[in-house]
Amino acid sequence: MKKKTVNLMLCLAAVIFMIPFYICIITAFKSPEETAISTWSLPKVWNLANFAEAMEKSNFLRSFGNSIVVTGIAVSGIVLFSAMMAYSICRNQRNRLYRMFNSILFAGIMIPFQVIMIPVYGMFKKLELLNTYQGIIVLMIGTSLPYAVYLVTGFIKSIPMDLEDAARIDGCNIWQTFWKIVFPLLKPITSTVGILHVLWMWNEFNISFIILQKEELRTLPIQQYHFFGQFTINLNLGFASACLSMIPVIIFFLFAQKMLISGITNGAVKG
Amino acid sequence: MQSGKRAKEQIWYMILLLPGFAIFAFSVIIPFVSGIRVSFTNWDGLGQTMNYVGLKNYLLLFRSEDFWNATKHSFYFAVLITAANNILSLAVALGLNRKFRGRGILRTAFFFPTCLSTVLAAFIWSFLFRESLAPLFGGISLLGNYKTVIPGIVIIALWNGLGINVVIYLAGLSNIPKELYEAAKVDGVNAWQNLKSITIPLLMPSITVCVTMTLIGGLKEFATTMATTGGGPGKGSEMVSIYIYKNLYSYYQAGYGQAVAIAFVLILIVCGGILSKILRSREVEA
Repeated sequence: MKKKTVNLMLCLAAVIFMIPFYICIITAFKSPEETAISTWSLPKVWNLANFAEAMEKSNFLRSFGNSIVVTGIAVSGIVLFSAMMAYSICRNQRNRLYRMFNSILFAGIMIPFQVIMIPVYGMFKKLELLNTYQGIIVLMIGTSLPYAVYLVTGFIKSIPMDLEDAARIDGCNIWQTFWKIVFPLLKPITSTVGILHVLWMWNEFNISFIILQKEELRTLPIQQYHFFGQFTINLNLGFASACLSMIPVIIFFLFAQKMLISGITNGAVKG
Repeated sequence: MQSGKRAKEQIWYMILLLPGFAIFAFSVIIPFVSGIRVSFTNWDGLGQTMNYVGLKNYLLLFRSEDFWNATKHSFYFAVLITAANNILSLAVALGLNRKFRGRGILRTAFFFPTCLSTVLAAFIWSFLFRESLAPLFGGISLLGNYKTVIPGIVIIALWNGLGINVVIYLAGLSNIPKELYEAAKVDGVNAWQNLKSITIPLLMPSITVCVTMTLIGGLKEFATTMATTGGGPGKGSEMVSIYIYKNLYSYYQAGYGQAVAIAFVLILIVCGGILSKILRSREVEA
């Protein structure tokens, strides 16, 4: 009896969590007139016209492409640099200088975004980096590195040094040892860092919102922010665009759910 | 010979470290430091002129109603989301922490919304509140009312973020040895006592992590609010980050806005110090 109550409450909560998806999908297929009658009823005809129109009016393909470029480069940068930095810091823990670097990085996790919002804007304006891909990508990498390094550092501490020593005896220098031996060994953690950041950079809003104002450069979240605000009259188009943007996330989710979950729990438990 | 080799090693280690560190310094450290300088100027955010005005910005903000209003909203939002998120996610995790058919699907239902962007969540929920759920709340949207707008945003943020804590709590629960519960069963312990004397104390590390993370995230809140209300209605949901943003883009008082940012961080540091003292004394008791 008690178990049944728990199950029932869980299912109810899950259904509540799914309602937004239901509304989102059915509204994407409806006409504004149909929505006006009832927001809960199913569409009379499953009409794809909204999707075509939304795609065109919201410049969907362009911002989708922008998101892929920005996310791709930023995540590659985060993965490579965080592995390099974490290795360098871990193997020099007796060195004061490296400990200082590590402490500064760690302090970087604590600095909230709103504190650097205005100075970054000023700096990027002066350097003419506003509305550029270089600008947004550098910022995405720079602000993500502290946490990424922290995740990789935790993993490197568990790797034995024997293999590295063997490589060094064979005449590899540090650089070669890192890329040939260490980096491949880091695959479990680099893929976790990569997958978490693919999601985070894909959805990134705060920084992109400040840096990317020009329409042709906007990533998907920023473009949608403006699109949703612009067409308040025809919400059905907005929902069609929302559905479209969910498709890649769903595909990614199906493929990466396990790693996402383990990434989140690893970061939290080790913290 | 040996020292030459060590020096060479050091060069390689630096080559591994410095490029990444430079990018980090460029995007976080330099803006942070230059931000302190900006907060003492009257920069408007548009031109190049920046005159030092001493402590004027700070004196202004302490007398500004808007600043305290925004600070109050940030704390209100952060406390509300921390309490709601942790109580609900712990409850869901406890419910999911049993073997039954459909467990995976249920977990996905709670976790999947965390993968969507805040903009998307904000858009869908604004519509839900305005059109579909308004009858539940007396015909008006939660987001359109000065008194209910922040709880409304909390609901959106819960949908968009609950799954993270559910997953962390589930991992924490799976680490609690089953024998403890079996022993308790022999002693005839009821479910509530189980929760109070076994689950919660042993879950304390996860609880600390989740509470701290939601609290910090709540105080930094920007995206969901910006995308749902932009700080409105009126200034009903204007939190510190929104207030800073408005000073840059709408009021053209970037210098003052930066002073707000710095002052808020100082407030956070003081509160954080007090909080960690309280938590630490708690841990000793447990």
